[in-house]
Amino acid sequence: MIAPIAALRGLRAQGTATVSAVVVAALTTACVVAALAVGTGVQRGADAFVEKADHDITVIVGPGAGATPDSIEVELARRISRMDGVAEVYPMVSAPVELFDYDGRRLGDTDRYRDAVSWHDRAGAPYTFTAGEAPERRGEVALPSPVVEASGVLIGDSVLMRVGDRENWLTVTGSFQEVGGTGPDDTTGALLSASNARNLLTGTPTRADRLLVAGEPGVDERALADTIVTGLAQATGEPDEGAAMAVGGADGEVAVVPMERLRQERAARLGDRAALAHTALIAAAATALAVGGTLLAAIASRAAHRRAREFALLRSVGAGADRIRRILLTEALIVGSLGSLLGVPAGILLAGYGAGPMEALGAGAFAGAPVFGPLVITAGAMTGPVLAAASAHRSRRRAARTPPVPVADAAAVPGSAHVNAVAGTLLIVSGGAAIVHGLLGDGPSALPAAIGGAAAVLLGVVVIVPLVCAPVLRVLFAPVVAVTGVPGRVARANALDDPRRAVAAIAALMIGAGAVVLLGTLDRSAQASHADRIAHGIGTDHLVRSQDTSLPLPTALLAGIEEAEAVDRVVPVATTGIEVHGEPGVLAVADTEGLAEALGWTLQEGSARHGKGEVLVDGAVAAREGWEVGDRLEATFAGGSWTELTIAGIHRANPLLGADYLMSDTAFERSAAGASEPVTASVHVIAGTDGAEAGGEALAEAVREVEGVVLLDRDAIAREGERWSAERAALVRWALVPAVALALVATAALLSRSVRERAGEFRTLRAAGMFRGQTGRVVLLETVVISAFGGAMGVLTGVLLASVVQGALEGRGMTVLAVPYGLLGAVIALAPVAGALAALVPARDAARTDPAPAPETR
Amino acid sequence: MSRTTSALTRKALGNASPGRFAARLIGVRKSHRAPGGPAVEALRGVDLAVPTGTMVAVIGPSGAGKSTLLHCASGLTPADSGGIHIGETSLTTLNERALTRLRRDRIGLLLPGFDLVPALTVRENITLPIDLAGRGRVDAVWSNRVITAFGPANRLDRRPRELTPGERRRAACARALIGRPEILIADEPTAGLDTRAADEVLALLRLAVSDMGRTVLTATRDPYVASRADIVVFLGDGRVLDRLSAPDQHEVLLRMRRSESAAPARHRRAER
Ligand SMILES: Nc1ncnc2c1ncn2[C@@H]1O[C@H](COP(=O)(O)OP(=O)(O)O)[C@@H](O)[C@H]1O
Ligand SMILES: [Mg+2]
Repeated sequence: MIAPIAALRGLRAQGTATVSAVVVAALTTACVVAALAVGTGVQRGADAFVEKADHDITVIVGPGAGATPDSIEVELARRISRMDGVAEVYPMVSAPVELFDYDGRRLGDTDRYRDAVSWHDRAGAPYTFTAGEAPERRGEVALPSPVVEASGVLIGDSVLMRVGDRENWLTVTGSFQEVGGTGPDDTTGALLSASNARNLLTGTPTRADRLLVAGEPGVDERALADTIVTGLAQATGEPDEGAAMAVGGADGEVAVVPMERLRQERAARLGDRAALAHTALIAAAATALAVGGTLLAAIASRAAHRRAREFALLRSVGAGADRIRRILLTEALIVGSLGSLLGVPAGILLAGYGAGPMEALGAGAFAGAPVFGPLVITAGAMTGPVLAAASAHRSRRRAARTPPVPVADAAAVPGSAHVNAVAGTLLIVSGGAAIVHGLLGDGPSALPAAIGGAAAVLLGVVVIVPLVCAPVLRVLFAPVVAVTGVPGRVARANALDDPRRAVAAIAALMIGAGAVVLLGTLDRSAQASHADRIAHGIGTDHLVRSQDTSLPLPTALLAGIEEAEAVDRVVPVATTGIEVHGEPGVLAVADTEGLAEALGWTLQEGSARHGKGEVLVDGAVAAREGWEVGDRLEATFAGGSWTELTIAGIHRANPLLGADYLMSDTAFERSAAGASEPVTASVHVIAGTDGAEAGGEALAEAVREVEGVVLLDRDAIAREGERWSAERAALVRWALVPAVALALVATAALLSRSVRERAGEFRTLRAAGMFRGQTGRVVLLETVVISAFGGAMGVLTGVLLASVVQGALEGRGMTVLAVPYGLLGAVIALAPVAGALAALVPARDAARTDPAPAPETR
Repeated sequence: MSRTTSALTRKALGNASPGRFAARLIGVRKSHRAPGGPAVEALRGVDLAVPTGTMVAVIGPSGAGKSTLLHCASGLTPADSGGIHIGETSLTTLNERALTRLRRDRIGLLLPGFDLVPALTVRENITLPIDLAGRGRVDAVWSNRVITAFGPANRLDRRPRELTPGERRRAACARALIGRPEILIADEPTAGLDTRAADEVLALLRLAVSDMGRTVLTATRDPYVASRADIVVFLGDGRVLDRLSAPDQHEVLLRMRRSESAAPARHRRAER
């Protein structure tokens, strides 16, 4: 029972050290809590979306591959609604629009392309109204609540909607939040009543884009789809055509797609986005933990160092090493618990701002509210104490070893330079070995080994920094001393005299800068690798794609493309949903030779030749799951047929393919009897040698007629990749916020403490005739040089680690290491500025030191 | 206001020829107000003249106002009223920057407690004021003399923490002297030192007066230290109670007892 009391006394006596430790623990906890809460929210939101959005829809009816380039007649809806098992049919209409407020200002993002969509009051509509009401009449519109918030448009205001060259004034009836959508580009820009939408968006009130068919409760999806197909064939009375109108993407006028297929594809795509958001959040939490832990360790080490005399005294009056360790452990636990106590509510506040980053990551649309479940709160409550106790472990050991003889001076406590050297070298060597193993090896352990190794190297560098610190600082200070004279000299002497203080600040800045550089370099490398792939491996000159991937491209269009001028080869890619070991995924059905030419598709392992019961797997998926060639997979194709598939080959990850599994047409036909037909939603077009230009014009001509089809040229394909990396860049930015914030807070805390500790020194300087400005400059210069060093170290380690990670990801598509020199320059230039900012208040305090000593202080 | 004060001072000490006094204090009053506490009158009208080329010691019990007196004299704290001159310069008219420059160029300060900057070497500590003032002021002969007077040459490039307390105090003393100050102001220069180390510090102060022609104003509680000065001023409760020229230790002790019993007891503190 002595330990808690002694610990409380110790903490009180420590004053500012305790406060800064609590602040660091609280900030770290807040970051962890916020990341976990937002992450859980994203996961739940994604799950809920897949489960709930359109849950009332059984079948989708859209234009089939054989359709004339026209949309669906609403008359069809009436016919379907009379069929057996059909409860309701919703004719959907959508079109890209632009919106302007009363003053002519454009609403929403200027470069984004948003659709106005028809609103149907049904249970599975992926919208919730946050204010006002749904649009019901002609001339009414509801807007997304982010747009309403940003623009200041009020309910009842008029907005101008432009569709093509038609303009209409509409009254805002309410604002909505979208529960669905798979990214910022796909989110709804406005909701209109169904009849209003047909009038304003299509120009032809009798047509719709597609029909959402709600079945009666308990009706089977495939059975209903079959009913609709047969029903439509009978109604037209043209049995020949009706027979051609099969379920899925056959060559009929109308495609009838069971919802299940779409749901599987949605789950796979949303899963990817949720995983991306999750990675970002885990990275943010991990950086916060790393920075927080390093800082707490630095604070503990300094505190223990300064209390050597106290420990010696305790030991001399009979306290054992165990007792000292217990007192310090209790102190750490109290500090950590206080940090958690403050950090958990702070994290809850912080999570409120998590929506911004999630929006940027494309998860915003389905991100549910942050979830503060018992797991999140428990993790938050544990973060502070565990982190504080663990990071103070070394100082605790050192303090417990204090000999029970009076210590003359704090500096007389033996340092552990060679322990640092040995530990640092060991860490670097073993980390290097792990990296080599990770780079040479394969299988699921390769990447973790490389990354773990890189982390060990980083830690080793942190441990060794104190040893190389002095000579480097001497060099860096040389010009500063030459320019500023005595203040610079005193600053240099201070920096060199107390390596612990310098190293704590250097480590803080190094981790912050290192994280920025690591992620920035990886981001740039991903972009460059993509550009490289486009430039070298890819033969595709044009990509023709349905806007809605559940609907096939019209066969007439395909034929038109093949016959178009200058077209050399057309590679269609069909996709369908597949569930492997219960996990939803996307299966591409295409010809591998064509893909090799069009997408630079290459095999990594095994064989590209495959037949019945065999499948090719994307390298990233195989690595994630730890699969190898020859493994057997339990698969369920969309449409219900269960089968066992053997992995014939693993191909290099290819983001342009956008699928997890690949089968040839013949292999699919023979393996997936009875499954839904895959939908050919995109074709890659390779132009002849006489130039892509002419081919492009011919294609544009062919595509122009068809609604819901987009044509991308090489540049546009590259831009898609950029959008992908822009999302990643957003991830980078948000993962960095806690690292940079903690680094700055920590630097400021370390500095203000050291200024307070050195009050006597500043008094002496002032009494000896140093001006206020000069005194402040001592602190400022010291920080600026130290942070310049920290920034440079961060840049070095960041680039080093990035090259390691790039090497490890080479097989997964990151073929190029692109160093963002601009970013490196900015980090090197901004690190001292950041240091100076953190030093502003401490420098002012130092300058204001009263040169007259307070009475009877000593 | 400051102008009238300085005029008053000049009238009061009008017969003093310029340069006769290194420092003059006329009717200096100063109260401290601790935050939340009552105002404490530390100086209640102190007159003091420090003749050039002498060593003057202010002696008195703890809380008598010695430190406050020295702080006012060196411009570290402004007096509430009264006149303070260093040489011919009236401190009351100087701003913060000018006071700093005055400390740097014309006053040597030796304050208790924190005396050296731990990160700088002993030599750097000693030369700090002239370095701050710019290299132009370095007078090699003078600084060599001061550095030699400090003593152990082999300690010059060490850190302060490697020195004995006595050596540290002598180094601080050397730093106070390095700028060839008109006056060296030393608050309790021997406090906390053993007899031998205290003697060495006193010897250095005496040397500054006799060999280097400096003026020293010091404060102490120790009659032995006071007896090494040329003039002893007895301070009690913020007032000058007595003066003594060419003192001996016994006489100082005697007068101290006498003035202490004369002083009102209300402000006295237990002395160790
Ligand atoms: N900064 C201050 N704030 C409040 N009271 C002070 C301050 N400095 C000195 N005093 C008070 O003024 C009186 C004189 O103090 P001081 O000049 O330090 O005496 P001495 O140096 O003779 O011991 C004492 O009562 C002391 O408590
Ligand atoms: Mg005093």
